[in-house]
Formats: sequence, C-alpha cells, structure tokens
Amino acid sequence: MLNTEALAHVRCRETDAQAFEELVRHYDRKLYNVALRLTGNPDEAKDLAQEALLRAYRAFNRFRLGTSFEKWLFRIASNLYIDKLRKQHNIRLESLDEPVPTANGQVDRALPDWSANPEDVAEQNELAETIQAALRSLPLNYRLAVVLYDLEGFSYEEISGILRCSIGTVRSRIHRGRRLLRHKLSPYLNPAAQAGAKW
Amino acid sequence: MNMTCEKAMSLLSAYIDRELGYDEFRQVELHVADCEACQAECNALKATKEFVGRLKAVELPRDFWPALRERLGASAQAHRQAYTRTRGSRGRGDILRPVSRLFLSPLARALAPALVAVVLVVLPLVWSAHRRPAETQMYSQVDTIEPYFRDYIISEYDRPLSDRTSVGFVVTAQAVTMYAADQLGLTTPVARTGSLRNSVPREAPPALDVEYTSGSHPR
Repeated sequence: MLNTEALAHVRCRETDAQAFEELVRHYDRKLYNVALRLTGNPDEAKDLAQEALLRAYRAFNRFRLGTSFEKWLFRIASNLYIDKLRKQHNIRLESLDEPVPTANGQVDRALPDWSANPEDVAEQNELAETIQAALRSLPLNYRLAVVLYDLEGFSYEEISGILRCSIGTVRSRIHRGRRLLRHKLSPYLNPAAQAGAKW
Repeated sequence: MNMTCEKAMSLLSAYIDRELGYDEFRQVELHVADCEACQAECNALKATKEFVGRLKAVELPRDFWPALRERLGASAQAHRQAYTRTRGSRGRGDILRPVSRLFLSPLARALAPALVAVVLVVLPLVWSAHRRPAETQMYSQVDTIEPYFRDYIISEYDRPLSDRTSVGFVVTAQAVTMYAADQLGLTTPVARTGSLRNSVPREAPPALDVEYTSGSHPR
C-alpha cells in the first residue's frame, strides 16, 4: 500500500472528506467504467459510482485496515447495483421501440439522433455499443464477473473477494458469460475462429 | 489420465486466462492439442475475450467530482453534528478522542494480557511481602507460644494467599488461654487482648502448663 494511501486511511477515520477524496482518486475512473459497463448508461453509471463512493465514505469506520480497500469499494458498488436491479424489478420497463398509445391510435416514438459524428468515431461508437449491448444481455452474475475480469483486469481471486463467492464459482461465471457473449457477438468475431466452433 | 472433452470445455476460459493450477493447465493443454472441437472452442473464446477487450475505458465525466464533493461535504457535516449530539459538547469529544484512540490501539490490545497478569500475580506477592512482619520480629514473638501454633503461624505467614483470619483466631485463642491462666493464678499475665503484637511480650514468659480446652476460657 502506498504511504499516502495509508495516511489517507487514518485521516479518513476522522471523517475527513478531503482525505477520502485523495484515497479514492486512485479508483474513481475504474469504478466509473465498471458502473458504465454494468448499466450501459453514462448517467446511471455516474449515479452508481457516486453513490458507491458516498456509501464507502459513510461506512469507512467499518473498513478493516490491512484488507484491500479496492475490493471493499468494488464490493459496495456491485452490491449497490444488485440491490438497485432488484428494486427495479417492480418497475414496469417501457421499450423505446414500442409505439405510444394515444386517443387517436398508436404513434411511433420520435427519437432524436445524437450520433452526428465523423465516420471513425461512429464506427468506434458502434463497436462499443455492440459490445455494451451484448454485455447488458448477460445475466447479472455473469456480467459482473466478465466485466471485472475482461475489462478491469481483476484476478479470479480478487473477483471472488469482491463478489464473495468461491474461485470455482468465478471461473464458472466467467466461462458461461463468455460463451453467451460468443453467441451474441458471433457476427463480429473472426470467421476463422468461428469456423471450428461447434456450439 | 486423459481429460474428457466435457471437463476440458468447462476449464477453457480459466485455461485461456491462465488461472489454473499447473497440473490442470497441463492436462487441458494436452487435451486441446489433440481435440479439434476443444481447440475450436478455445479459439472462439479467445476471440470473444479479445473482442470484448476492445471496449476502451472512458474518462470520468467532468462534473463527477464537483457534484460528489458537495455530497461528501454534506455527509461529513451531518456526521459531525451527529457526533456532537451523541458525545455532548464538541470540546469534550475532542478531549476524549485521543484517549479512546489510545485504548483501541493495537499496542494497547497486545499489552492488555500482560497487564492483567501483573495485576493478578505480581501485585499480591508484593502486597504480601509488604504486609509480612520482619522475620526477626515474628520469631521473637512466636517463641513464647506453643510450638504447634508457632509452626502453624509461620507456615501461614509464608503462604502469600493464606487466610489470615485463621491465624488471628489461633493467636487470639492463645492470648485468651494465657489470660485464663492468669485468672487461675498459674503464671504471670502476658496478654489481655487478641493482637499478636500486643499480646506477646518480647521477653519469653515461663512455659504455660495449660490445656487448650473450652473450659479454660474466662467466664
């Protein structure tokens, strides 16, 4: 652990917001990216990451010195997202493609087009959206494991600490998640790799 | 023993990620080298992993920290107010905080058993030695008492945790007996009260020829 980080740990005990900010500056970008890959929406991702940091700040007295702060922080974020999804199950979701019922019959939704960008940016955005959509289609447990490993570079052991499950479970979730992704992304994958695949 | 396709398939992602132990890794490696289906699956999973990895990390939104900083500040303020309410005046809390931190420190926790040992073992020994009369004084006084009581009292004084009330009783009985002997005119009175120091003279009195029975107590 960095000395500055250790010092910040001590100062944070005294509810020093500035010290807390110094500490979490090491992880804020990573946390936001995980949130973005989980939610698929920048605004939701920002809310999720901010809420996770705020909760970590309020609960800092319960953090045990000598353990991994990063794991603790990402555990808070993933639990927060899981809780949020559970609550959302009771909310009716409306599809953006679904026509709006009116007194004069159904009307198609008119959505603005925000993608007025150069071609390369558009291509990059398309790629990102495709992968993001595929990730969003995964069951939550698989998505969490794949995002933490493939995108954020945590080890299996670290993920087992964050998600509070065995390494065998992490292994299984990553494998199943990747197999589902392979189906979703098959049109974009290297044909040579696809040719040999039987399922 | 060769690994089955089913087993190898289940381990392919961990194999690609090099998150297997040496033995399992070698078994999967050998199996994939010989099995076309598993090889194809392995390549497809590798391609998937690489494709997903092309998703680039994005920068934090510009308003991320300004907004969060406000919420953190508000939370810290609320925490301080709650702390002040629960701990009384703010000054008092500030005074007690270093003390409570000292008692909760790891060093204090480590030294606690040693402190308990000192309190339970060393202090009674020191206290006992302090309370014990000087040996010369004790022997000079006890010489005048019957050998049985003398040995008994000496042994009791040597035991640091002995029950001194029994010693007091014995000494009191001896003094009472001597008093009874005085009443009977058998010898010079040597004691009229129960205290060892007050009851026994430094000069050895003549030997008592009295039996210690209840009948010898004064009425």
